[in-house]
Amino acid sequence: MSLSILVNGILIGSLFGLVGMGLSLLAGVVKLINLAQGNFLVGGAYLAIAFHEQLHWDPLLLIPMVAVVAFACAYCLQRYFLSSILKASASSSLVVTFGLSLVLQAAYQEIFGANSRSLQASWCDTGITLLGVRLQSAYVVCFVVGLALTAGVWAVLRHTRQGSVVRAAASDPATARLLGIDVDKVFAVTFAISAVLAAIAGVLTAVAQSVSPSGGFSLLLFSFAVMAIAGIGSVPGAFVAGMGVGLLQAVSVYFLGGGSQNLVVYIAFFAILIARPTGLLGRRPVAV
Amino acid sequence: MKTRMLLPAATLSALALLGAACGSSSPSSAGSSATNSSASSASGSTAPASGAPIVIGVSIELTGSEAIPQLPVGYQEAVNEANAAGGVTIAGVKHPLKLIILDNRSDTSLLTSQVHTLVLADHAVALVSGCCNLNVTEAPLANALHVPLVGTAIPTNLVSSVNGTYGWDVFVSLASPTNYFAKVVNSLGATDDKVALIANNNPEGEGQQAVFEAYAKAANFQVTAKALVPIGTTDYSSFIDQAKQTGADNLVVQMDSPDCFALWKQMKALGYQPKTALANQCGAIPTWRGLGSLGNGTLLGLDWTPQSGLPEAAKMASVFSRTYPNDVVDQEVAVNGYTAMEVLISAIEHANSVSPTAINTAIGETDGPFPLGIVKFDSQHDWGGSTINAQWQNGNVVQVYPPVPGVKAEFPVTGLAG
Repeated sequence: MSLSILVNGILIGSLFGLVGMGLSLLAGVVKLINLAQGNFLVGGAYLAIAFHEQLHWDPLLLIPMVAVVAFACAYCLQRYFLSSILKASASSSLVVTFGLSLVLQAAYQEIFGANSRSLQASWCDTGITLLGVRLQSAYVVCFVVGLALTAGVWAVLRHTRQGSVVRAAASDPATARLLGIDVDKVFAVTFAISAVLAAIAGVLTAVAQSVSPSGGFSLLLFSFAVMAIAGIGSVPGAFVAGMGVGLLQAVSVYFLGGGSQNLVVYIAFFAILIARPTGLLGRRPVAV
Repeated sequence: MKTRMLLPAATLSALALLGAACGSSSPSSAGSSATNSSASSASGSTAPASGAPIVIGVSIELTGSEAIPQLPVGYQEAVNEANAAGGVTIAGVKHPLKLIILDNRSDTSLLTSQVHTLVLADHAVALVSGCCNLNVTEAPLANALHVPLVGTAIPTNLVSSVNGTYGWDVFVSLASPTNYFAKVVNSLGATDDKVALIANNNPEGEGQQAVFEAYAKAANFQVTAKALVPIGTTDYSSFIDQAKQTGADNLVVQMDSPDCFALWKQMKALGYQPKTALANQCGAIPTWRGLGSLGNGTLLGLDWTPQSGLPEAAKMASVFSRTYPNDVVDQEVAVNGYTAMEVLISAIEHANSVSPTAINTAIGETDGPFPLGIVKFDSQHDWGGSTINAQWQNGNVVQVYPPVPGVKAEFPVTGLAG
């Protein structure tokens, strides 16, 4: 097995990590399993494609614009729609976000059509050679962006006052409210950050691969696996676990053939869930 | 808390896996349960009430990963033409045709329920198909329901006996593009006759790859790299590495569009530039244009182009260029639909009956010119048709085999040039 296969697997896994990180953050803080996370990814991609068609900017330059729009939309969605539903019944999150997923998929279909779409840029389809290993530039960018976002989110959560507020709200929302923390706002911001992570992953997916209205579901399943392996709420853990999933896929394809790659990941997912329900990398209740 | 949060995720994944498994096994059970009621309807009256519409049903992938919305454009055009001429004559009385189109969203389970609805609730006397992989499911359903299915790309030659008694394939033989691909490659005369094959691991992909392999060997190609991958695969490093290591100058692909997009991007980035690349399925639909210049130089199998010299080629180009101006791939898919519907309408008139059994018999007796050529079914209910190899050049599709004056195949694959 060549080193190139392993390294490319890890780099591709960084994309899974980015999606899983948003899901994990949301589950850890808001205690919400968002079944529309894959659709947020697709939405981010379509947003970038729409901007690209109007502005003809490089996809990387579009990321801040996509992030701002995704943040605003997701914040409003959580603050003014989801939060009231979730207050009524915490278990309704699966139903509500599944419904949201269907609505978004239909909306994308209507607006952007059924065809696969991708983002083009001069660097997207090129390769670079590092230490004798040929790598796909798009995935190198995914890795760098993912690493930067992981470090940024982790640093904010661990080393800023706002991060302390988020962790307090996640640990004990009732006490946090008594201390004057606007928990609803914290949850909305967390939901928005999670959506931004998915949207950025979407832009990178459109660059490295392609997107279609129904394409978010398979990535959602992978992000669950990432979350299970990392442990809920572990931001750096999710990124590392994503790369682990990518590596696991690459190795399984090499040794067992292409047909096994998803099965191997799901088996690992269930095995870890049974052996270590808190995930391989999750130790504390809220490990952000 | 964490365990509680993960359980829904685990349940969801399990359901997804179960859903995938059930999706492939449901047709036989669902179909068999409906056989009796359909058989009784099939043995009912052979002429509709005076002036009553004759219902034809289609469950098709208008959306989803295998969306092919161009096909019903062709179906509808043929129906419109027949209705403009007063409809179909049964026992001396004209009856309008009513085409019911349902979107199955590329979902096998939805297809199954829709086919039952069309036949049992809407009383469709015949069905026309969607495309490709879902037809592997739909043909046995038509057999179980005893209703003829005239299809485009029912892979009869890939999945043995899938057509059974009621399935009919007017689409080009899926083996032919490979056969012609060998001729195109040989005409280029500068490859090493090594070929890398990759396909999705669904019934169509697996069957197609087996056909490719047989044809490749018959044409003295050496298969040096081979892979079957699930739909949704994003990492092709192993396959690309193998193809590069073995020096495969030729590539044959049978995959969904998103998978092909990821493969093409990765091939270019990792420096694998085959001299020829045939992209079945993904390359043969307009979606390919979304790859931009990266998709140039890719070969595809078609069964119609305006330059094909086939019957009514000029008329078809004129009719469908109204909907799809200057877009050969879109037009070709619509012509496929038009031809399938014309074959069916012709059979209904020939049967002089709306009995599905009588229509089915009449379809088997088809022998005449249609836009895709002289349609005559073989014992497998398949019709080979005329295969054309085309190539994406500057974002457009041009016919390269049989040769067209003034058109030259680009070689090696221009989009993958480093």
